[in-house]
Amino acid sequence: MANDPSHIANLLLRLHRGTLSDTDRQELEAWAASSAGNAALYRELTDEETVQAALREIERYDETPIRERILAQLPEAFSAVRKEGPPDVRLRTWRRTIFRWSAAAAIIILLGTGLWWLIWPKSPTVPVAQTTKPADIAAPAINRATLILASGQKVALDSIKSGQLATQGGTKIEKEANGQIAYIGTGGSAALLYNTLTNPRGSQVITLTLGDGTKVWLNAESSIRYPAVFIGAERTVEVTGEAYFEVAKDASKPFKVVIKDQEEVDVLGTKFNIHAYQDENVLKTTLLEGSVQVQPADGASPNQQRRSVVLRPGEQAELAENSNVVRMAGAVDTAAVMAWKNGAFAFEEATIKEVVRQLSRWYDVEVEYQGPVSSRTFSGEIGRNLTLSQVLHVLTKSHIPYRIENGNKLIIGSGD
Amino acid sequence: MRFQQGDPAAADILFLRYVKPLSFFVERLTGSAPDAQDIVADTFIKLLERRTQFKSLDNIRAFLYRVARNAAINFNLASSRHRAAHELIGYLARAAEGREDWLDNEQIRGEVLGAIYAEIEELPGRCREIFKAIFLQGLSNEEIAARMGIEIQTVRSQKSRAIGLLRAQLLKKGQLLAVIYLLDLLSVHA
Repeated sequence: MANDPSHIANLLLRLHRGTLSDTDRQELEAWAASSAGNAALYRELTDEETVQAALREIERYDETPIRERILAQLPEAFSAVRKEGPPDVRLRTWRRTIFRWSAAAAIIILLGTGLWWLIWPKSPTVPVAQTTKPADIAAPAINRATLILASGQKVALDSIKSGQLATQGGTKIEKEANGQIAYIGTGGSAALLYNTLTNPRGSQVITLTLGDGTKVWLNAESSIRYPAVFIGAERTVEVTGEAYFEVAKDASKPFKVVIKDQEEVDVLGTKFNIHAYQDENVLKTTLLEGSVQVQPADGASPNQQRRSVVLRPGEQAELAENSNVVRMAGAVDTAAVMAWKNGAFAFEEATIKEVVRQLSRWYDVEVEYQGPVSSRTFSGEIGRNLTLSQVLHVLTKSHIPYRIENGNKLIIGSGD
Repeated sequence: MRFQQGDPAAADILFLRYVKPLSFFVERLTGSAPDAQDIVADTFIKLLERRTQFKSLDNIRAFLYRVARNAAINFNLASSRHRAAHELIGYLARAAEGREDWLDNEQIRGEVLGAIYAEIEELPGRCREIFKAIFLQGLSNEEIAARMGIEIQTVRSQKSRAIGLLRAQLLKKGQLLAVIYLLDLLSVHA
């Protein structure tokens, strides 16, 4: 098969997809080394700019005359209109099983210069599958949240099928087909039945619809405590970690978020984000729509007057650790604040430690720093569905060394 | 596969994935855009007529490129008799002299680029349009948002989605590099 062009093409595609085996690699090397033309083609097809330029050229071709010629001979060849939306699922699934993701090493190699790797392949001759699998950590593929009912009973949400999962004081709790949790019905209970939804580290964002219709998105390593049915004059919930709220309007029942007994956010039909991780120094409340009032919690400043800040859309309020004064931070980039909900990490002049704290929650890794920590700051956005190595590749580009050990520990060096 | 069972929608998808890359390949071999259109149309007709015999998408891709290549060689040999096509001489000389390795390499290039292009074409509707605008047209997030009448946030999230769905790392690299570039720029003052 060595002389079959389609076979060589498949090897090159495996290289691009990080699924090249050791045997494949030797074969590809032998092919590239066998002639100057092959070596040149190899360089061309592993160079991003050249490939991108060729793909742009390909995109300019017009398929219409060809389609018409085919239809002239085979009138039933195609469906009448171009099908928009997801392509043939069966074709996709089939291909997926053939080319599984594997190697971060191959990715990094590709990101470097292609031929350099061909010339210098001798040192890491361990099979790709063995060296790379434990060295990388994939983004969370599922949600591993737990629901604690008023009785103290714990329900692991990923282990149950969609449909009704419990009732609390006459309110139904349902898991929807997309994994969201919803409280349905007003219930008949006169007592506040508190439930807690906890989303651990290394778990996808979970969405919750409370009894009043308020929607909550809960990031990894975050929790929310709320009554199954809101009774009384106020709707009060407590959060830890990071949560985004779209509060259902109810002028007769103000909505209040309490954070770590430290801060209170009073709201009325509005959209806002709370960032309150234990390991962050500053608690941040960001308003997207409506109006909120942010103040230190009741018990937080007994000897002082409670000073509050009223936010307008686009503004952020900060409460520093061990402080009881809420500070107005002014207008911020709300797209960056909300990146977590939209599948991305966004950093704005973030220190390496800030970056790594976000990564550790999402990929569920322990972090160890060796040597002094680089003082560089980072700004930019990157997909949360990438593997840890892919994200960290950005860091190494910034000359900060790292390595992953045992699949759960990230070691950061000091860099330059 | 639905394609084997004669589903026109499946034929449509295969056509859209490979028609442009094949046109590019055949035009490189023949040096003639209109003739390349004929050859590509004939190649797809042969594929549709033999649709039951394919076991996998890799088989289909190999078949398309082999048939198109043979048709291009035949075209070159035939046209050389009644056309003094100077622009063809280079191609003809190499093909006629039995420079099979040159043809093989054209086919390898064609197949690799074709499969990578097909990967982009496989992305779901809006995600595909947005990724193409970024990667193939070089538009900025802002330009895409303005042209498509959508929010920049949507452009960003669809881009992330595309990066998650694509398998060729090279297609993601540009996106990573954009971030790296930004980081390097902004970390200068650190």
